Amino acid sequence: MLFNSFEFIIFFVVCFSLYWFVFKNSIKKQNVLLLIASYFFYGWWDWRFLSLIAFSSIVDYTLGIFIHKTEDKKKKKLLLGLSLFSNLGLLGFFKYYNFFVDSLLNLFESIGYHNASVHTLYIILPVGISFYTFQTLSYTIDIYRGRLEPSKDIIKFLTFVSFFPQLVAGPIERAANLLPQFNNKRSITFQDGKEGLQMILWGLFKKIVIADYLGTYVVEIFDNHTMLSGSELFLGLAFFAIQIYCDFSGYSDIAIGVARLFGFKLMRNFAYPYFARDIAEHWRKWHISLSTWFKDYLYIPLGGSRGGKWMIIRNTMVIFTVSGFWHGANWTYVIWGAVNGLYFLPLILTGVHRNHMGPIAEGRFFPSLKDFGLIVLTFILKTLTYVFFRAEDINQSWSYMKGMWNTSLFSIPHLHFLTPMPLILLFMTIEWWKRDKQCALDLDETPVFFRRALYMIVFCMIIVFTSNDYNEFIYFQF
Amino acid sequence: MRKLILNTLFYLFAGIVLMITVSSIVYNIEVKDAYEHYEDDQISHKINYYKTHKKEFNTLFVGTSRIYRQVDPFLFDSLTGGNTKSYNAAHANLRPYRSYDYIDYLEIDENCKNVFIELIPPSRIGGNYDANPELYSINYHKYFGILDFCINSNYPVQFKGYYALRYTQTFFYKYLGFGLKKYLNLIITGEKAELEPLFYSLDETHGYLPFNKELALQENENLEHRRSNFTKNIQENLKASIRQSQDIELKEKPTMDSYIEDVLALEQKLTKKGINVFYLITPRRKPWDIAYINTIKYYLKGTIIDLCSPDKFPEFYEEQYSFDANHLNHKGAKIFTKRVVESFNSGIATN
Repeated sequence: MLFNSFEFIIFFVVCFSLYWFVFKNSIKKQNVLLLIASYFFYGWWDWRFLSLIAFSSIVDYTLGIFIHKTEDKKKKKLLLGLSLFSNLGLLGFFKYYNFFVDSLLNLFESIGYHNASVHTLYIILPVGISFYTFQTLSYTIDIYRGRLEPSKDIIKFLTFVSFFPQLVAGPIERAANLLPQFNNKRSITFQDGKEGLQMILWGLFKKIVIADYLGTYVVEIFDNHTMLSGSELFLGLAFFAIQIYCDFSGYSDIAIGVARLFGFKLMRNFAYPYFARDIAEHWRKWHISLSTWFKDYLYIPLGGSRGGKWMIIRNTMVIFTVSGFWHGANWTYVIWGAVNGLYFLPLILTGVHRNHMGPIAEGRFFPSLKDFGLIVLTFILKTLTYVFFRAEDINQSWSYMKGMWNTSLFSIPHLHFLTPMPLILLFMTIEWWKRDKQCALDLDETPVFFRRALYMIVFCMIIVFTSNDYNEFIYFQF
Repeated sequence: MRKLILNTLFYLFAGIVLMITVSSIVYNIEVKDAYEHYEDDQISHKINYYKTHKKEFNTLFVGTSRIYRQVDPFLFDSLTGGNTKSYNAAHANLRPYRSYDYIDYLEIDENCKNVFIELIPPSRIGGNYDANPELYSINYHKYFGILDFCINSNYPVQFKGYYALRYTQTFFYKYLGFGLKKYLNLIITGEKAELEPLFYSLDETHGYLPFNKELALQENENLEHRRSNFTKNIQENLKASIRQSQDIELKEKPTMDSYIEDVLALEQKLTKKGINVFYLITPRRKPWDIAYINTIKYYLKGTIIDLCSPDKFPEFYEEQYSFDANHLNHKGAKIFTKRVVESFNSGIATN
């Protein structure tokens, strides 16, 4: 079920009404309702994969209890290994099996050996598997590290794993943040409701008005990249950079907003990453729940920044490459991750990766010329990496880059490709204006008339831009 | 909670009112090519061809696949002794209300002498609007017309309920402003969509394409599926067609409804231009269609050519002339065309 669909509106209204008006006085009943709703939400896409999410949850629930109970360190490690094996095994099979088989076959063929007995399988990638797998993994790892008590209530745990607002595309919640919220009595104040609705409205705006609209241009440019000029191809990448941001952060905003309306607080996933002044700052603001996951569960266990420079380089490259691979079973994602890692290295090696920790242009509307230049440079650098992310294969990436890196890069693009510019500028201006708030529609300090008018404009634009063939969120494929 | 819900409802209500106002204004701006953009490319080709060759034709056929697949203009013209030069402008699913707009789009002028319109009840919405929900051919007039039809007409309740639901859904889809972007884009840019090339020649066919010819020219799973469904149990299917297509006598004076008013208005519009209007009732209908067609017939003034009766036209219910349960094959089409010409030449309605 998609957030931007008519079915979801009905689903949400029914759940919300039952949750607050029928089961208001019983946490247990509210949790059961959320569990049923979450499984229904997920099953709407493909009910067969409900068994997968149930299996993953029950395995980690059981292992979590045993890891906590046992005193024997070896046994603890073994149990954690079992959790890693079952979670990564599922992920590996459903997401990466064909990739590995294909890569191996290609390798063998390149050295003249043809193996007809090995072949790929018809495997459907279960939506959200990368997200909930990481969520349950963090649970068992945290118990192993002694940072978390295991849940003793299976309903709460199953609901924590499958909580529908963030199930299929995050934010990847930590058990320490989300699980305790299933124990507490929930309430919703006017402020909570208002903030939740603002997040939903802005999320839908980003998805429907910006991402889906730009998506049509991106498809057109990528499909015809051999016939377009370098400047048009660069525009295609820039549009994709904005599309993927609006698509993914739009989903996160809606997830956070919906969760808020059910009395839950999810972690922030995006903090205006395209206003970052360097790549390090960008990654602190982009897909925060995944970046911090990799930092906590991969970078630090690998040694983090504690070793020498080579160790830092190795660890940085490992997490960026793995992060690329997490996005999809394709060499293009691996290269995309590695390129981001390469961008990061000079900052780490020169020790300036923590230079931009504070807010940008604090107390002023306009940034300084230097900050503006850094923002533009960071955006361009990031945009260039998307040639690998968006291309279907490496050949298309090279062909796209060849078409872009020539003198036509400095030509004036066809007017048709400049049509989305006013909309992008409007969107960027609103986000820049509200960059110190979590939600760009947080207009509490603005005059009532202006606030209401802006809500209305956003609402109307969402309707006007809505298409009957709902577009899936890009991150569903990961 | 109360304050939250009231505030949300307030904004929702205000937003809906605003959208209905805006879209009602925007949709009043006429965009000539909207039809081409949001309907079937094949229909657009047929329109364009007629518009550029209209001096060559003086007779026009409009209707659904039962005309498109069953009236051969070359045969028709040869049988009328060269008095007519006809063009088959019909197309699959081109049912009322869609076909009434269609007649406007064709921009028929005084050169045209005869228009044959297939007489059928208002379509299920699937025939009109499912092709693309962002179609713009629905409007206040048609929506309230169909509601009136659903309340007053002599038509089965279950169909009327279904029509009311689907037309309401489509109407609100349009007037709440969903998909308005495409229409605004048309107004602002005036961009025309590129049409897919037509897979057959209008010069060679004058718009008539029997099933066998289409299947020879291109794969069409839908047609093949319909044909195989029919051939699985031919005799039973034909018996059912004969049973269902029997004429029904009206027991009381039928009720006028808005759909009939629309048919009459169309008739008036054409006769004012000096055009002879003929209504064609094709074979293999359903009893509820026949009952309603008889209601319309009661009010009409134009000539009606009714070729539905299995007693009068048993050949239309024979296996050798059938393509599927609802349509005649190319051999059946030739006989059907001859029967139309016979009625046309005699100047007497067959009903």
